[in-house]
Amino acid sequence: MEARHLLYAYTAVWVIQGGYAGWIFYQWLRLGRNSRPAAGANTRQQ
Amino acid sequence: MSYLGHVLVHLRKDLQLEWRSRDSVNGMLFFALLVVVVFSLAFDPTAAMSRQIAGGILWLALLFASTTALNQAWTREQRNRVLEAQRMAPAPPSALFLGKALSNLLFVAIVEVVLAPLFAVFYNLHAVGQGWLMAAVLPLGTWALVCNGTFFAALGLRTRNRELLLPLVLFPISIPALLGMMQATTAILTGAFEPGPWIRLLIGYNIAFTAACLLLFDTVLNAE
Amino acid sequence: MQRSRIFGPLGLVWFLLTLAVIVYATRLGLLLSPPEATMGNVARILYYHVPHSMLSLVFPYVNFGASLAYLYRRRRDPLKALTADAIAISAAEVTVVYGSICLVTGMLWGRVAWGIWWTWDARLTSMLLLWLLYVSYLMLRKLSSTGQAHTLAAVLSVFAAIDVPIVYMSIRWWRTQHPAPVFGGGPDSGLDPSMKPAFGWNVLAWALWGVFLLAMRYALERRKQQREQDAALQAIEASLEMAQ
Repeated sequence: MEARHLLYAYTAVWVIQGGYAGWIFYQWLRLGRNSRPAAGANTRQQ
Repeated sequence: MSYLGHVLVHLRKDLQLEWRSRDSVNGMLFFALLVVVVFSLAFDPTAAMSRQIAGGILWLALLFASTTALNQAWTREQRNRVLEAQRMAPAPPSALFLGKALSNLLFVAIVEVVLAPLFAVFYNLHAVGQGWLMAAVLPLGTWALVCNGTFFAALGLRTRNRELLLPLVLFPISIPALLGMMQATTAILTGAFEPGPWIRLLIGYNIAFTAACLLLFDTVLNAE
Repeated sequence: MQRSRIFGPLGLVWFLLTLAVIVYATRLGLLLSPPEATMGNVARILYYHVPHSMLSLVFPYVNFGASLAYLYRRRRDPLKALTADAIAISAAEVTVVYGSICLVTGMLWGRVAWGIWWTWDARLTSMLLLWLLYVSYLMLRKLSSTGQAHTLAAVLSVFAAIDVPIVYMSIRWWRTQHPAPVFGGGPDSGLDPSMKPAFGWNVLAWALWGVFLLAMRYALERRKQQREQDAALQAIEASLEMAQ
């Protein structure tokens, strides 16, 4: 039986799962880097 | 005014608006016809094969045709900001939905009435099973498509790419109903198996989703 | 800006634990458990395939529950409602990921075991439809304007939840009436005791991983929501500034 299908399947799982987790992590970092100033920075006290 | 009164007012409004231009019905009719012709070219069926595939093709043609018309039904409400007025009106929102869904049902029914004899001609069809059951399958199937279709068309009102969204969201949800109407029609045409379970599936589907649409339309209309 | 507790020490511990269990389970599945009688080593695909299939049926319920919570809280407590919405989208994405893996590994398995990539049998078709439903959910979220996306998606989630049992029943009927090749009962029908440890550990591993993904995605979504809220608040304050 084709043992390479086993390899494809396991690789596919790692790629999909790892890829998704990596994407989330990447987005997380990107949001962290573009941190906006805290709310209230635009107002001045009279 | 009673709930039924509200529904009838909305229904009359939609029928009148459509009657003035008859865009939707004409467009749907021609589109359905084109789909039938294209499928015939694709499959070039023999008489025996026709009976097996005609059910599927009929409902596919109706599905595509009604999808094109469903978005337009709500565009009518968006002109002149009518939708905002509807939201502020004290009438129950589900009456608006029901009136519109019923009017869409009538429009698609008109298309069916014209299309069905054409079908019989193009595919040399005669029902081997109980032909009169089609009188049950046609309205049940059409309502399944039109009810969810009207609801999801409203869902996509303020999205970008509205026309794209409707089929994307409608088709997956409708698959059990599509299976039911196609199988029931094929069963009636070929007489090879029982249409009963499929008709029962359509009835159950319609009850479940009509209830869901009526209950949730208010949420959708006021989704900010 | 408070640091999310999810990515703190608990998150790290969970991540490392999950990785360890995955490695252990994979090792069990690949090396230590005996090769299957008829299929040989290829049957090891099932150690990944079946747990993912089982788990892909759990996350839709998480999405449904979160959507209901969102709809309930929407007017009563909008801030808490956003939490529910974050869980809903995370669960939907994880469903699609696990469902995709189920379909891909299933196709590879079917190709080897039965020589065909696909068949429209009851189980596969239902799985495909479930996947389609949740992809359509994600598309709706993507194409909706912000502010509405949450509510509309929650409504769709309710429809999907009503649809799932109907899909299951109708496809089963369809296949009872028109039998077609079936992709077997699968290893859960008649699982050899020597394979149970590998199987069990894989289920645990991927369940832990699923929870980890859910939590990570939730944290990301919460951060996005915070950004949106801050931006909105800034816009309001800027307009107040101009009014003065």
